[in-house]
Amino acid sequence: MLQFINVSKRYSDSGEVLSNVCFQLEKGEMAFLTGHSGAGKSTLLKLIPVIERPNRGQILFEGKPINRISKRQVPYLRRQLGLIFQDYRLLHDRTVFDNVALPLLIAGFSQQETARRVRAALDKVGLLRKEKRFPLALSGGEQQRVGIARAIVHKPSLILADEPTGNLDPGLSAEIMDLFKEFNQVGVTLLIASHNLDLISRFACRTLKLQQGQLVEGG
Amino acid sequence: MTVLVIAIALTIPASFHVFIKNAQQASSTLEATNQISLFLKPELTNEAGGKVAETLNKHPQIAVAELVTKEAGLQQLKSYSGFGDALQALDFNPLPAVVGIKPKDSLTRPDEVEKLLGELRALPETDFVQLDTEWMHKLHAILTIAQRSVVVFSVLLSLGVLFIVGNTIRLELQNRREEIVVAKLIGATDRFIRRPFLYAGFWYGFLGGTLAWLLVSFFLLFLRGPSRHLAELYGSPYALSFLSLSETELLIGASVLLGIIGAWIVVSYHLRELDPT
Repeated sequence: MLQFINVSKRYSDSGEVLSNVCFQLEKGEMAFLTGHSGAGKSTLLKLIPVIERPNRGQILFEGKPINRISKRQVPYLRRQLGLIFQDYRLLHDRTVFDNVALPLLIAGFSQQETARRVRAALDKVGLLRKEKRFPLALSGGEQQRVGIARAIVHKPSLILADEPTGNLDPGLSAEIMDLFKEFNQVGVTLLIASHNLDLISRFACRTLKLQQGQLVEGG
Repeated sequence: MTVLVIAIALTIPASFHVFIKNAQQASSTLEATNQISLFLKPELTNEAGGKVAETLNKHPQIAVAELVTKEAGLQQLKSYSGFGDALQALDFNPLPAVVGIKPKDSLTRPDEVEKLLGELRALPETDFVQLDTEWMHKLHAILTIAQRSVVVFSVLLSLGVLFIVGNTIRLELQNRREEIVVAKLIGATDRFIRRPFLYAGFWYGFLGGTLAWLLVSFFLLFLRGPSRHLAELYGSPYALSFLSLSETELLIGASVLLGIIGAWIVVSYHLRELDPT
């Protein structure tokens, strides 16, 4: 499903952040991406939705080289992905329902279909009864669940999570990870960046380890 | 606020245009009352004057030629000028007989009028000829200049409207920065993001243009009374004309177009810097 072939990314101010990264992620797999902060986890994740482009190498997503797609095609690629952020990135002036509905609104779903899917997604993350609340009225764990509902509502083929539990306490973090595991059990492919090794060790999943821009484990 | 500024910016050239249009129409209705006064030589009698008027009545370019006798002239002067008592003191009538000439309506071109004047001057009975409407031609020239300046004003103030809409949209973009970044991250196309701003541009333009139309109409209503009075003083049936349907369409249409274009430019320009990184 996702394949990195000798991918390198260099920034003019901080030098080479990723060098010759090679790995492959199979459909239905759940993998962790670890490493110290600054090891290049976030950069690697940014290459997949083309927030950044690599300087060298090739990235194949479902067989297509996404490092070379045009700017106009980027939105359509992103619609096949579910992005989850450390800081949730919710819109504070919209209700939980409207936040989760955003990807469907963008993709042009009908109102009925949108409502049905949003409620299904909120049900999965256990927030069905809070659909009319605003994000700031929710706890951190609940806000991240809204973020997760938004990432799964359009049934993406790959979910990318960048430090999804970075701002949460251990109990809530474990709950979020369990949620990811549940998705994986029904066939969702996930790539989760996290530096929380204790949490990762609880799951029997492949772990990709980055060290100073090089993939040293799991590739 | 934006709507009001747009309305004011558009009201200025629009009302200026209406003002000139009315002045032109007014002057052309007044021109129909073009009057030539042919002053006969003082030694000529009223009878000789009557014969001149009779001949001139047959002239193809003259509608009416009417003799004002020496006595009638004196009478008019007494009643209009307020010199009544002073004139009483005169022991003879110093006024010549005058033939008042009204050219045919078809005679509007200045060179044709000039030709007729030449013919009248050449008559042996003529002392001198006076055209009462020369100032009208000067007014016409001034109005043409004014009309050109309306075009310049319109272009400048249209640019102003473009900037006002652009600036308002830019602020709105900044307010919704986070929302746009998130929308882009989850697959919104530029077209999707641009659309609501173009709608906003449309409404700013539409409401601004409509308000400008209302302002111009109020302005004209305000002037209607005095202008009717003025027209009466000139003995003209002239009535103030408002913006025509096509002018209204042009005003509101141009305003809408400016709103959309202003929004388009700003959104397209700023969308590039709102790419998520």
